[in-house]
Amino acid sequence: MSATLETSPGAGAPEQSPARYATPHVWRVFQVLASLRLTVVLFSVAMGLVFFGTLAQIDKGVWTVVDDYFRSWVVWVPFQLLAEFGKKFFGVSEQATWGGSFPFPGGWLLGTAMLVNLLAAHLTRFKISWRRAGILLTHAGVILLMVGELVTGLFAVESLMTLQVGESSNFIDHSLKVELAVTDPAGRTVAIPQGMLRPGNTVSHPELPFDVEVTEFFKNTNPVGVRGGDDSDVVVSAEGVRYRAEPATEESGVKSEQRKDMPGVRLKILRKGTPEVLLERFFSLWEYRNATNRFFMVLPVSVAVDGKPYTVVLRNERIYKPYTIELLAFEHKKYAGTDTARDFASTVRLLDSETGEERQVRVWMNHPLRHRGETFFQAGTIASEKGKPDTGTVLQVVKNPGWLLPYASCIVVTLGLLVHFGMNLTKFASRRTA
Amino acid sequence: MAARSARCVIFAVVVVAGCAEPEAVRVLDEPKAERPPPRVIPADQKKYRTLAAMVPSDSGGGWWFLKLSGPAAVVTKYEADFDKLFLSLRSSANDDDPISWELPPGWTREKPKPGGMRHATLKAPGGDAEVAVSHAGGHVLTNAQRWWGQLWGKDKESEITPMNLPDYVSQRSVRGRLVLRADMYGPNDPNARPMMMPNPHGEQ
Repeated sequence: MSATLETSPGAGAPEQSPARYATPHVWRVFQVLASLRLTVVLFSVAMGLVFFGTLAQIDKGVWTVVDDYFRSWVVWVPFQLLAEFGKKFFGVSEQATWGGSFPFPGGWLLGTAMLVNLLAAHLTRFKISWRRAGILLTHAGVILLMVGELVTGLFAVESLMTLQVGESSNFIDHSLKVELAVTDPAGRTVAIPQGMLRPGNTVSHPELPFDVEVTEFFKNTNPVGVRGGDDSDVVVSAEGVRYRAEPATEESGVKSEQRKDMPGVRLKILRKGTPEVLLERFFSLWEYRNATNRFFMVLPVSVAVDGKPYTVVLRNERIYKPYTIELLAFEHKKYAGTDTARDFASTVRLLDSETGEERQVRVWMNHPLRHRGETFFQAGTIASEKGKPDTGTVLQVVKNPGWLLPYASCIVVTLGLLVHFGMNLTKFASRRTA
Repeated sequence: MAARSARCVIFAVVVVAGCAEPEAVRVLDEPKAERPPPRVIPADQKKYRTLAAMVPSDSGGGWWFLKLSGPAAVVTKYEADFDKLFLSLRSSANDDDPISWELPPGWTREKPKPGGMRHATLKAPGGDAEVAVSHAGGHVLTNAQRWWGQLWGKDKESEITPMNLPDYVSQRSVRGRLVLRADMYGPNDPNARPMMMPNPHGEQ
């Protein structure tokens, strides 16, 4: 952050800094925080974090790594990652397994430390002057970039909206989070978030007709073909093939053909306030029709309490919107004589009940629909039989309040570098002329 | 001023980091989406009817089909028997006996013709109707569209869409297994053989 640019003689003596008003004790703290050595260390550690985060994708998904390594304060890095690296480059035995893990600063911690380091450097070593406008601008751009990542990490939501032609929807499905939904015949739903579906946790809530004890949670499951038995925990494809979801390892971030993880959870449904088991079952996201682009069917899971049936399903976290989107038409054009997609396009009608806004939009590649800070991209299709037209669309819905910040920061950094080097060039040219 | 600035920075980081909402149980009102009423078919168009069952196969995927089709009055006469048959269906992983059922009283089973698509033909007591049992693949929607096309004409197949499919094909639980039941009416005889185009080059 505070690289060599500010180390030139006269870069700003401490006594000229605004921080000179601080007490000597605080001043010393700021000097340590502003240390150029600390900057170099932080950059080195950041490189280490990127290295370990990349290695971690051998057996973990991209988003798991982003959460565990880059959007965390501390990450426990397994020694096995080093073993895997050693197997490829240093002749470590293929059978080697190195147990244990070691703590390493996570992205949040490093980002915060870099931000504090940069701000402290400005407080202790810099003075504000036109001569340093370029550096100030460049650093402001870097700060903006870090703030942008913080805002994205905390507030960005990626989700999907699945629609058949003629269907309307006022909700989206969170792409990375699931919830357990318990719905009564009138449609009143109690949704238990993924964070509560921890093994060993028992969820009890006044609105829940029963208690839910979580036995196991798996980040990913695979459908495995089954023969015989009943369909109480089976999904049936639209082509008549039966599958049962079984625990699986996460989709690796380095696999060439990745699908999203499909979590599963084993639950005991208990009579409220008692240990009596009403149902014990493994639920998986394969049973949620939107998660499979409507390809699988399932017998609904029903639990009766006091004669009232409640359906239970593991689904993507549902986010309701004050607007409705209706799919009017879907086009899937292919290159002549091939199955290679040439163009996907969804014609939708947007109806916002709060603002009264109504408009028809064609959503296709690089032409998303934007509404209320959300962007709807064409993302997928609901396929029918091969050779038959697709019957619906999948729109990716992205909400990121910080989406403009990376662009703004790039502009500010570019401007800062242009100003800085422009001023130096002008100075150099004027010296040559003299 | 430096100390104040530092406090501001730390405060801002803590505030922003703490802005992520804690996860909690949510209570939502999710009434079932209103569906348009099913298409009303005029009585004079309800000349023929198709009842079909689709059972996921245990022997290599695909569906077992049981289909009763013909004049609406005849199919309706045997609807109760068809449903008894439907509710007795049992798919098995045993390749020698992949699908079984209990024949309603008076019904007989005929051996399939060699080399044909049918697994069995079940004859009604009066001999005026039959249930064809066969195995094939295909998407639920495509099969429903084909049956609709037999009743209304091939050009009308696309009238069956995923949105109105539940009006014609319902999902049931039979002995713990997911089975589909289709019920459709139309003006054309679904058992009529399609007209063959005459060969312009004569018989060969």
